[in-house]
Amino acid sequence: MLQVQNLYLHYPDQTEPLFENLSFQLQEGNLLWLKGPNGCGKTSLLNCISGIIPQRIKAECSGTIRLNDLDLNPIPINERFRYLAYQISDPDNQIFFPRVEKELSFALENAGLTIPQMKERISKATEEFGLQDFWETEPGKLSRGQKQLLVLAFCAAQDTPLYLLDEPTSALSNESILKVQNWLKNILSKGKIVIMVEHNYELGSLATQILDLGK
Amino acid sequence: MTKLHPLSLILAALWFSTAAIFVPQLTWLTFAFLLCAIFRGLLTVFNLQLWWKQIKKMIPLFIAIIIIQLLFTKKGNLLWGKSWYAIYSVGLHRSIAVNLRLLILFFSAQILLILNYEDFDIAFSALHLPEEFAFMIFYTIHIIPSAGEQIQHSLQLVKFRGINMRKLPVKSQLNIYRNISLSVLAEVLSRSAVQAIALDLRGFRSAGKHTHLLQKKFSLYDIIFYLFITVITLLYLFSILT
Repeated sequence: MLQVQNLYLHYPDQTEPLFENLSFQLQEGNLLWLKGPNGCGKTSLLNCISGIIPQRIKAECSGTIRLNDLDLNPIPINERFRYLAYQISDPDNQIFFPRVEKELSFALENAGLTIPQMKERISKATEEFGLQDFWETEPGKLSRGQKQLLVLAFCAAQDTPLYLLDEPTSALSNESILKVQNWLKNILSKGKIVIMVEHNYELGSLATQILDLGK
Repeated sequence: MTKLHPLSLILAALWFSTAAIFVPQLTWLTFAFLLCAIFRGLLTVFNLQLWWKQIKKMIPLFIAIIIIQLLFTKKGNLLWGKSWYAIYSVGLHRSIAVNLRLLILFFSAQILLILNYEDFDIAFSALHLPEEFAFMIFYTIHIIPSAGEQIQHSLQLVKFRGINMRKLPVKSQLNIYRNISLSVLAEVLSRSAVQAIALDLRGFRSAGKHTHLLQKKFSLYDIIFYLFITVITLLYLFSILT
């Protein structure tokens, strides 16, 4: 279960706080669809939960964020990958390595998984997102849509209880959107929690809760 | 040759560049250069056309070094000419030595450039060094070619706007180059801040045991290589000490 209680966020260069007393609760298998106009704080909310705010982006931020009774606030950002996987909106910022396989294995190696465990997760994610079509291509040279699928695939391979997705279907073809939709259905059925910023209504229909930050 | 462990390749590049810096004898420098060229050739292919294309750009630098050394070093035996244009043996020796050093350093850098992130990762993990080292070195080595690519891309965009750089006055050309370089540099810096966050989100520098999916063992080729460089180093030391 994910509990966000009394979240307060105020950027130093803004006069008004972005969030005041923002609270919600998500059970296993729930998908929260974040809606609202540009600048209403959708990505900021994902950044607060991931720890980017206030650990990397300085802002006045308070409130409780608990995942399965674990207080996420004191956990450093580079330890949160054990609990959450975050797909940032621009895939270019999440792709570093010269091979698809290394992109998929990076977080798994950091988690100390054994080679058979890594291979199993990589193979599953590869199949789920159809990465075999561009397995041999250098990730930096992939199209934007392929990069997006790769980022989603390594998030999937992390197999964390919480997924933060920031516009997962931007730049994706209908065929690829279907892959993402199937993957989401699959992880939700396994009790994973998903918070998603998305403009695709078909994907939004999977939501169990909707939070309109523009209201 | 690619059967060599990545650590052996890094050590080879270090060994050649150390020789380029510290060996003063022309014979040994020539030997080191030949070895370095053969090593690079075995590692990639003996593509002499490509090598010439790369070295061609350095020719003005080589010529400048030769002219400066010949004109300003007035030591050793007089070989040719008189007064200010006299060529002395030490000047000739130094000009050849500096150019050989540059060539060895260039070829050593080429050896490092063929290594990708995983190679550095494997090499450093063999030394039980943290992954940060591999990442920093990989990032530093590849940041210049990558920035170069971005500058080329920006120049292409300038061309698409119908601006012919060659027809512009030198001052305007310099202005365009300056603006493009500054914007590429700013982009590299701002992107690296976001990328650092993205890396942390995937557990970079996290605590606990880290594992490696790709592992490579040292082979017989590596042993032969280490024996070879040890023998050559000992021979060199023997030659200068006796």
